[in-house]
Amino acid sequence: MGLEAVGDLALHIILRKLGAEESARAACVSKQLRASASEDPLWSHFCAQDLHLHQPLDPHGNLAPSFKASYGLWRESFSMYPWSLVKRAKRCWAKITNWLSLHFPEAHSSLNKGASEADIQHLETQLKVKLPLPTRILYRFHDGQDLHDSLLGLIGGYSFYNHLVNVSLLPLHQIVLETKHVMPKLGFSATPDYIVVASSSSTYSQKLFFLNCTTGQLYVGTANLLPDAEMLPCVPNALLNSVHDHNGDQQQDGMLLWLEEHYRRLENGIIRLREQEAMRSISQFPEESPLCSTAVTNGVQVRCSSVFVPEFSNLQDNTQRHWVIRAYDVVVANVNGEAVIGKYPLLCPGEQEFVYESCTPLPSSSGSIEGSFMFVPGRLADPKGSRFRVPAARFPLQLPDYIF
Amino acid sequence: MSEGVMAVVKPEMKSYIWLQTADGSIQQVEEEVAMFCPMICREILQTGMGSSKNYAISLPQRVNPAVLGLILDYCRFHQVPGRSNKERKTFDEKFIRMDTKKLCELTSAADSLQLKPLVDLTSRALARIIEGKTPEEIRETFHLPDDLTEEEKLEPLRNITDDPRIRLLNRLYARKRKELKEREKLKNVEVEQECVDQRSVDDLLTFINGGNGDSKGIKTNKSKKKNRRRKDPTKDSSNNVNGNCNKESETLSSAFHDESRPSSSSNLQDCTIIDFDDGDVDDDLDPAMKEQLDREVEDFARRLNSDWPERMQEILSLGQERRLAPINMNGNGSARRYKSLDRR
Repeated sequence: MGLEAVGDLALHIILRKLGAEESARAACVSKQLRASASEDPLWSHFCAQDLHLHQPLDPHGNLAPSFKASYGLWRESFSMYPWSLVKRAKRCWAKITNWLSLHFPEAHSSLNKGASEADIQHLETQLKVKLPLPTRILYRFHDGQDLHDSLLGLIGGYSFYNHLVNVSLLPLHQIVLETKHVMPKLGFSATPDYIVVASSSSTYSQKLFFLNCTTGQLYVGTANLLPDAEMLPCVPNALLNSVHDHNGDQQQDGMLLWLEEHYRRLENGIIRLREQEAMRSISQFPEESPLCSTAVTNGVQVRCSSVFVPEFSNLQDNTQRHWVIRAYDVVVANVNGEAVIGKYPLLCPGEQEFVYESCTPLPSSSGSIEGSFMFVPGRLADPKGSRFRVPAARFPLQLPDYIF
Repeated sequence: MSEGVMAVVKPEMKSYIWLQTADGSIQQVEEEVAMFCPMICREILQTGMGSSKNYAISLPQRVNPAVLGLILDYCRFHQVPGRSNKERKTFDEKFIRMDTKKLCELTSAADSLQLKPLVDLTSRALARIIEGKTPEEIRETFHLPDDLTEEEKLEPLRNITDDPRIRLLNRLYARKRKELKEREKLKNVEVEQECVDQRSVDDLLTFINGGNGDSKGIKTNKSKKKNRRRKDPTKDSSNNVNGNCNKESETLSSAFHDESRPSSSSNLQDCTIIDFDDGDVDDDLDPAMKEQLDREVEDFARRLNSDWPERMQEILSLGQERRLAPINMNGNGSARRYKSLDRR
């Protein structure tokens, strides 16, 4: 009495625990194991676990004849990459697209389907670079966003005065165009391996994200981008690992880490969707403590947080950093003067938060801010009580380790 | 029906259940322990059996007295409600330490008694034993029959990485396949049909990632090779991604043109064949790998009654020639490689 007598349930549990690869190997052992390893419910589990597929789809989105067939097609289509990295990239995208389809479907539909190996090859030839492995795989799943509407950027942003920032991932063909357009202006003489991968345009200045194809680090341009090519790293350098190594299983580059962190923030509600004049976008202002403070006074709640604005920051001049400060639940007048953005909104209980965003340079790169707002019950023209002060609790200002 | 068994059990008066194994021997077990097994529990509640020696519950054939003892030990421990998760886990870890044969018996018995937590525990232990072994080793460990046809074992695999060891073995297997195909043509139609039928199923098996710095990689090579080889012959020369495929399909096409593989062609539509000679991968085999490779080849060749030193020579010389031929994706490369094959 041996393995052949353990029963179907046991065999199924064994194979499930072994995983897809080992199950396939088990199928070469004997007829019985082959039969057990060929059952589609087993492969449906592997498709869900490894590829986040709940239907037997092939890499092009068409239905395959079975889950096992589907898994095989994916394996085949990505056979040139380390499978563990493929699974990780797939998981990253699956989580993001899932969140989008639930909360921000209009952005979800703007995501392009995956680029082909040929497309990637074309870009590499055009720009004379070799993409880091994780980025390559990420683009195999989705080739950036097709944006006609400037508020559907996957990364999102903020807006103050006339400066609207909404960052999206560029599709490959646009990467080529932007890179060719921007790189000559940067005065980069001997380092041709930067490519523009994400951006946002506004009236004041452009926010550009660069990928260093050799190291895999992601950078964002500061105020001194032109012509000094001044950039800030967007993910902690120490996390980057063997981005061109096919043989490891711990490869991670700036793009992958950036997207994974972005998803984590969306998932945990650290950043959320913001609705402004019936248009929705992802806001980069944190909405969870400790980065966002909350204080309630006399029934008025004030929430505040800050976001780092790299495109207005100046690394050379240590006295100038740009921070955008956001206070929810409005102001009639603030400490410095009356209604910084010139508004005197009327707040009624139960209505939507009033949000205002402002921007100010600050003398240091870390610290905190607090203040207060004056409220009047009733209306300015017809006050029903005396003015009262509503404090905005202190909220931190720190250079983040991930810059979006 | 003895209603006495169903009466409330007074603390000082323990109730026992009588169980009979297939060999005829009868055991007496505390009721709460026996009731932990769903199958026994159902028997007691539905048929009222087990209350006395004469009405012992017959256990399924897969439960022998020794393994019943083990199962009852398990039940005795776990049916106590007050135990912490840590305690249970510690018990399980110690409990599961037994030889493979016993583990299989235990799994089988637990399955027949529908004791799912124990099936789960033993199955996971079995999975840990199987993990990392080659098909041959699995067969040895569990004394499983080697009942797949050579053809089935040679099922081509999806090659995941550009592993030079795999490439080398691939060539060997390609030759083997060719021989088998030719041999099969002389066999009866049934075998061929069986292979064709299996094709679509087997096509999707074996996605072994031996190349990820996995030292066990060499063991998985066999299965890997199979899938890989599979693709090339069915590809038309018009649908080639690299010159290598061209060569392969030309040499093997004669062997394959008779067979029709409708189900598999759709799988291959947009596949990307691994370029044998991707410049990125180090072509040199280190001595340890080469040694393992030699062993593997020898083993396989022995099984198919071939003269392995001669074959190894051929393959190595072929490998040499390949390395010398520059890598490119256009027609020039393929023409050169085809010639090198000819020279043999």
